[in-house]
Formats: sequence, structure tokens, C-alpha cells
Amino acid sequence: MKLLHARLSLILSALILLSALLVACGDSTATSGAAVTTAAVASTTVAPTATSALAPTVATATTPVPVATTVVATTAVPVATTAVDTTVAPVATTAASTISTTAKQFNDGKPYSLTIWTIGLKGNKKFEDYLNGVYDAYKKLHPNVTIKWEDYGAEIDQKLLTAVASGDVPDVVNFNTSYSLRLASNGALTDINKIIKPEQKAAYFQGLYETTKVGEAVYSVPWYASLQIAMINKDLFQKAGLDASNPPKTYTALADAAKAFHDKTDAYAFQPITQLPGEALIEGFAMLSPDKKKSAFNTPEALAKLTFYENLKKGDLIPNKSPYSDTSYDDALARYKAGKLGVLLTGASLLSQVEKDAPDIYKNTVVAPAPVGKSGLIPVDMQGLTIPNASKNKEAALDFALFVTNDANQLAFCKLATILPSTIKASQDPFFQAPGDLKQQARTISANSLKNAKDATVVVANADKLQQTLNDSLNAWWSGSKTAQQALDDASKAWDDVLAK
Amino acid sequence: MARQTSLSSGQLERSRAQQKIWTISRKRQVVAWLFMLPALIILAIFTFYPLIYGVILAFFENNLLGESHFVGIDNFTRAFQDKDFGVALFHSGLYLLVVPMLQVAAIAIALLLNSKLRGVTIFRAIFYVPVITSLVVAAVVWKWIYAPDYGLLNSGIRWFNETVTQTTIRRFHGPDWLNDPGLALGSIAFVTFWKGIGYYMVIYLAGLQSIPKELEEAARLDGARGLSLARYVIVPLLMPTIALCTIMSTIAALRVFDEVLVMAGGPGGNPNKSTLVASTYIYGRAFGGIGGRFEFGYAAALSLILAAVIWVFTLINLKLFNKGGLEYYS
Repeated sequence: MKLLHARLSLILSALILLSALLVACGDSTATSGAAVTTAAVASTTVAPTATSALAPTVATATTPVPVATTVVATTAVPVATTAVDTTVAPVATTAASTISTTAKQFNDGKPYSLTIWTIGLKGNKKFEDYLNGVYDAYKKLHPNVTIKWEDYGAEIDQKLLTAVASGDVPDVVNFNTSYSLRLASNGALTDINKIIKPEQKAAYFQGLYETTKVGEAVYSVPWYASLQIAMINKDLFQKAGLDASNPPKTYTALADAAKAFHDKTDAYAFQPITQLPGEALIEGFAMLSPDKKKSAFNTPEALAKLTFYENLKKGDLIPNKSPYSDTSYDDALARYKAGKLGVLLTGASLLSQVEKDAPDIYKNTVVAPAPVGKSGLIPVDMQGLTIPNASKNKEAALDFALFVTNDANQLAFCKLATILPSTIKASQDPFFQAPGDLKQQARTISANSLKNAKDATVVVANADKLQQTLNDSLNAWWSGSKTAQQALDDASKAWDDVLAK
Repeated sequence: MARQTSLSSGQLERSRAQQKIWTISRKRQVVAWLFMLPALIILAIFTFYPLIYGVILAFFENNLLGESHFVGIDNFTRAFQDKDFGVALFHSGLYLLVVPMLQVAAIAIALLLNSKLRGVTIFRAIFYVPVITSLVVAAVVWKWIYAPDYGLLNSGIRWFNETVTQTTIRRFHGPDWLNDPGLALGSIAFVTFWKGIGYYMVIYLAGLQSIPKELEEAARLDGARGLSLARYVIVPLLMPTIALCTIMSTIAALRVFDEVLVMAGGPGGNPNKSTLVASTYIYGRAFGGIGGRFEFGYAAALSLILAAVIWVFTLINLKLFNKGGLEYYS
């Protein structure tokens, strides 16, 4: 009886507490409740914690060239460019002084604050000093602004969801293309095209500016780019009887190298990791019809590329790892770091990671332009700055995003990491052509390819869904339960269904 | 009359004493509640409130970005037609195979470590190390162990082939543990097994130490040895502990998340959906990793279905293990 009494009172008081809480929440129940529930939905399942470990995988799951910014986070090794330290701050301030005469003030001259979220840039002193310098320069132009800087890993999209639900929204958020599209298709991002001026737009490469273009809307100010290059293991090339200074320039040449590797080493020459949209870019076939209402990839070219890989796989000339699986990129990177892969096709920014995790392999690495297909185009992975719809200072946010991505600031950033700028003027700086170490060589190679660079991400509202059905089908082909033609047939039919909705 | 008075005074005294006890117990109750209050507040905010909100959410279409409307039981009807969720639930069910293996192994190790051998504490510590390791860190390390060609496990197999069986395969490819649809879920489940064993072992050690020594001695005098001692004395007496551990590990297996997410490289169930489990599927649906839309309402409905499945399994467990302990002999 007593026990029952105790139990009853426990339940009762819990209910009282609960109702008190609900009353306390009052009108804001809907929003703050949702914020808590995010945790709840995840907490029944324990939310993922180690973002640095997950980051490359998650961020690269749907991108054609898996060069995630998050990787920058793990590349704590400073880029060995002397004089950079001294040039960074002045560059930022020079930029400031040139614009200061025309700087527009926001919020009627009253104090306001801007919050910026980046991916994987805090924790590296070089990047921190650089960005703080940029913020200080911006504050000099806009004395009324307070800038709050937060940094997240691959979970940044989830953070934005909870932030929107709780009403405490950042003004500028760094996303890669696929994250931008995902959030845009859920209605979370501002159409930049509606608030940007034509002359502001003109500073960027048009191709890069239109990376996130859906219909007439553009959801992101392009920031920095990472281009596919080839990292080459010199020793393995030598063992295979090949010349590392004259690496394969085409996919056909890569296949020949694969044969040599198979006969003379226990490693593989290369591992395909490019998603089909990336292959489409390289080989010059379209993924979508021009009106974006139907699939267009079910072509002899696509079939030829799949058959090409199928034959290589049958001969044990490439690893038996589906390029379309979520972990193919990690797998190839790990294989390269283990000295079991001759050529790694990846973004130049990954050099720092190889240097840190596998210094012996790094010493033994040379860089070359990525092999090209029929189109001569090279996939690029873009990072951009987006403005959430819920931001209270959209105009000021855009101004700030444009400042962070202006020529001078991007150039200074490029000197710190193996990345490329999205503005035309910055990319023409002689710095990119200067001789230097491996990273500088990679920088030169990718800067020279920038004019042929394109983000291969399929840009439609349901991009995620399309990518998923496509990869399901291609994975089935890779594991042998479908022929290449069947996989293409099924995927294109599935795409037509999704696009018709 | 006098008798009545004395009676009433006795009653009075008794009621006074009762009152005293009542006030004391009341005071104690207030103190007890005060002690419980902080925990209750935390529970209310972080457990009861999200729980209730989650149930409500299951009847809405909600993307957390402001769009929210009532859809009745649509989320549930959709869930029952969702093939991928069926696959995910099936894999979560398969994952339950870890439970009996884990319990048998944990009991066996606990029995071994319950002896008074020298250095036994070192072994206890060794078996407990995985428990205190972060699951995500462990999963990342295991991913490396399982890596194809160059992974630790396959390098071991290669070394074994070359030195022990004297067979050299020039281009050796061991099993692709995390990339073969037939092996991936099992390989991940082994990490759960490896990580859980120490945890349950400690609980079983405590359970073993609470078994009255007289009963064991009496059984020995009656000639029970080894297996028969375990079968007729130790296991029955350990039954309440076994029930507890089985229920806990059943729940844990049905909602396994971290190791699957890390080792499969995302919620997609790589390779070929062979590692799609209920929790990762729900997570993928909520946060856009599966399907690209933020479907919190649908994810909440799926969570409720998973909770119902867990509840059913817990009831089955309770039914199976309700006999045991000292009652076994009565």
C-alpha cells in the first residue's frame, strides 16, 4: 500500500512538474519544444559525437569530388609558405581600406550583431588568426557590428535545424554544395540572387557562382574551391615499371597503368571513387534533360564507363569497392595512405592530411593534373556562404559574406591552405604560379585547371533522393545483382518518377 | 466510566505516537522529495517532455523549419508500407543474435574471473577497458582493423597464410569485412559484442558474489562439480542477473546506433543497405541523410514503432526469465 502511495505521488509530481514546465514554456512551446525533440529523436538512438571522424564521410557522401572542408579541420599541419604570416593581416586590412570609403552601414547606425558558422576552421591557429583578422577588418568598416563566430563539423546542418527551431539563427553559414541544396530544398536558405547586385556577382567565376542555382534562385555565395588532382606514389610507380613524372593523362592510360600494377606489384594503380554525376562531367554526357524534368544519363557513354570499370574489376585491376558506396572515398584515401594505391584522385587540400597521417607516403608523393575524359572538364568541390531564411539581417549578412569572399581575403586564405579562390581577380594573382613545394605545385596545377572546373552536383530540388536511387541501383550493379544496362534503366526510370512529382 | 477514560487515554497516547511517527515520516518524505527534485527536474525536461512531444510529433508533418501540420495516422500507415524500414527492423532483429552470445561469454568470463587466482584483477581490468572506451573511437579503430588488404585483421590472415600454412598468394585479398553485404552487419555486431562483454561481466561478477557460499558448498558436498554445479546451482541463482542483463542488452541491440553509423559511413546502410538498422534509419529520415528531407514527424512515428518492438521483446524476456534466484528452490 505504502509502495503504491509512493509510486502514485511520484507520478503525480512528475506530471505537476511537467505541466508547470509546459505553462512556463507558454507560447514558445512549439518552437522550443521542437528544439528539445531534435535531441530526443536522436537521443533514443544516441547522437553521433566524433564529428572529425565522421566528417569526411558524411560530408562527402553525395559530393562528386569528395573534398570536404571538414578535412581542412584535420589538416592541422600548417602550409609551409614563408612570409604568409606577415602578409595575411595586411592583405585583409588593405582590402578594408580600399572599400572603407563606400562601406554601407546597416541597422540605421544602431549596434547589431552577425553570427557566422564555418566548418572545421577553428582549432587551427592559422585559420583562426586569418578569420579573426578578416572580422576585425570588417568591424573597422562597420563600427556598429559585433561578429560572433561558431564552428562545427559535418553535423552543421543539424545544428542549423535546431537553431532555426529555437529562433536563435546564424546570419551566415558555410555549406558545401550538397548541404546547401538539401537545406534550400527544405526551404531554409535565402535566394542570394534576389538581394545581390549584378556588379557584386561579376566578381566571381560565373560557373562557380551558379553552383547552387535551382531555377532562377542561387543559394550560396561561392567561397573556396578544391579541384581534383592526382596524387602519385612514386615508389609504386617505379615498382610497376612506370614513370611517375609522366603519369596517365587519360582514363585509358590509367587502365594500362592498372595492368602494369597488377602484374608487378601487390597494389592497385587507382580506385574509382567518382560518382556518376562526376563521371558525366568528365565524359561529357548530361545527367538531366535541359529542362531538368527528365533523366538523360541512360546513354552509351555512361554504359561505356560502367563497362570500363566492370572489366577492370573482373581482372582485379581495381579494388572491389563500389565507387557509389558511402565509404568509397574513405577507403581510397586509407589505401593511398597505406601505400597500396598508385594514384589517388582527390582534392589538393587533402595533401595536408596525407602529410600528417602518412609522412612517409607524403615524402614519396608527386602531384599531377587529374586525368581527363572526353569533355576535358574537371570536377570541383565548392564551399559557399549561405544566408538562412530566418536571419534577421539578410542585407547585412550578404554584405558580410561578400566581404569574407572578396579578392583580397580569398587570396590571403589561399596562401594558408591548398584551396582556390572563387573570384576571378584573386585567381589571377602571380602567387598561384610561383614555384614551391608539393602543395604549391598542387595549387598551381589546380589553379591552371580552374577554367575547366565545374561542380558536378545535380542541382534540383530533390537532389538527395535522386543521388540515393542512383547509387542504390549502381551498387546493385557493382555487387552483381544487376547488369550495367539494367542499373542505368532502373535508375533513369526512378529519376523520371521523382522528377515528375 | 473510569475504564472508558483509561481506554480513551490509551487511544490518545497511541494516536499521539502515530501522529509523531506520521510527522517524522512526513518530514522524511519532504527531505526525500527535495533530494529527488533536481533529478526529477532534469528528467522532466530531458525525458518526459521530449517523450510526450515526440508522441505528439508522430501525428504531424514537421521539418523543424516552421512547416508543421497535422496528418493523423499517415506517418504510421506510411511506416507500415516503407520497405526500407522493414529491412531496417529486420536487421535490428538480426542484431539480437548478439544478445545470447554476449550473455554466455560474459557469464563464462565472469565464472573464470570469480576465482582467487593471482593477477585476476588485471584480467578484470583488461576486459573492462572496451567499456570505458568511447564507442565512436572504438568504431573508428575497428574500421581500420577491418580494412581490406591493408587492415590489421587481413594482414594477420595473410601472415598466417604465409608463415603457418606456407601458402603465398601474390595479390592477397582477405574478406572485405565491412564492404561485403554478407559480412558487414556481423562485423559490426562483433564490435558491439567486444564492447559489451566487460560491462555484463562486471554485473555477473557482482551476481556471482551474492550467491550464498553455503549453497555452493552444500552442492559440492552432494557431489556437484563443474557443469552440474553451474547447471543446478549457479545459473538458477544467477537468473535475476541474467534477466536484467538480457533485457538491457536486448534493448541496446534493438537500438544500436553509433557503431553502425560510424562503420557503415553514414545512415545509408552501406553496403547495399545490408547495415541499415532501425535507429540509423530513423536518424537518416529525421536529419535528411535518407531521402534528403527533414522528416521529424515521420521519424517520431518510426521511433514509436521501434519503442513498441522493444517493449514486446522486453515482455518476452520477462516471461522467459521470471523464474530463478533463491525462489528456484522453493
